[in-house]
Amino acid sequence: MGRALSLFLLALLLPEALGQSVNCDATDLLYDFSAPGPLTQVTVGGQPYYVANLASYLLLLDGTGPMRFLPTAVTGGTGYRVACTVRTPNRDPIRGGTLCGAGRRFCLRVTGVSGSLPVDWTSRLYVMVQVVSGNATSFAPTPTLLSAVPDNRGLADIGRNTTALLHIYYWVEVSPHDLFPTLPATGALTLTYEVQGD
Amino acid sequence: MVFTAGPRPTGLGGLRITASPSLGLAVYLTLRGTERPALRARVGGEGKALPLLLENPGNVLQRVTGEARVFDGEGKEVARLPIAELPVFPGGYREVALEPEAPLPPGRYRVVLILESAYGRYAAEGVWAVP
Repeated sequence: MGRALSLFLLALLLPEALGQSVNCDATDLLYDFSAPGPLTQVTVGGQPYYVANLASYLLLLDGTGPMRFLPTAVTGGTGYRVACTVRTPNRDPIRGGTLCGAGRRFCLRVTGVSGSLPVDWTSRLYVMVQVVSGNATSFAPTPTLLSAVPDNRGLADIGRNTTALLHIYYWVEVSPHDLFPTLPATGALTLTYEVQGD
Repeated sequence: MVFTAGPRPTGLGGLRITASPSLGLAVYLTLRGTERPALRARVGGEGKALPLLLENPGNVLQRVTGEARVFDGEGKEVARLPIAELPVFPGGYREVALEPEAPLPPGRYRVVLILESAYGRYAAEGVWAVP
């Protein structure tokens, strides 16, 4: 008994301005709980997570508690995450955040979330940011609710005149007790990233 | 247990039929003293993800966790793939693919699988060919 439950995460990158930019290899993340394929566990940050598909959804129904799922497909990217290259200008930011981008640093922030999912994203959408290279600090080093990332969803702060490579993972949490009144249940969220400091 | 609702008349393409919806729910009871826990594991194969087959020939539900340790040709451990809790029902099986955080270089690897459930520890070994 599979449910056609699919969720889209879309990313918008604000245009390059004043020598700063964000470029990501993937912009669409699809969580399709009716997708075929084997039950797949992927190790992220030393922990195993299931990839969203019909097999993992049926496994969820075999259990009693919620599970966090990696995307079924990441369009344009490799693996189960989004790789973003962030460039910051060779000058001090004019203003920063209280935590992310504080002092003489810039902040990569999710400045907008629009759309909706069949589940409440504020309590179900998790994010983790890994700093692969560059002078940057993650504010979500472990899976963290996007809505709870400090300083208005400041994902990572980055020093000036820096090129940083970040890996951003997203999970959607689904519970076996979730009810979807209309099937197929679908939804889409659009996230807007911005490097702030100006 | 099977729950059955009363007959419901319905129409289908001009045809009038009566159907009785039924919902079956399998309930596993374990009687003390009759437990026969068992687990069979086959690990290895080919692919970027490590194939794993778990079979439960016993008569109790196995909820297993554990990890697969991956060794290269020189015996050096190159990856550990943790396994999230996985229920395997009596008489049933689970197929699961384990993907490492970063893809392993092409080659043949020896894999040691260590699993644990409420009924004990299990180990298996196999070869994984990464293309």
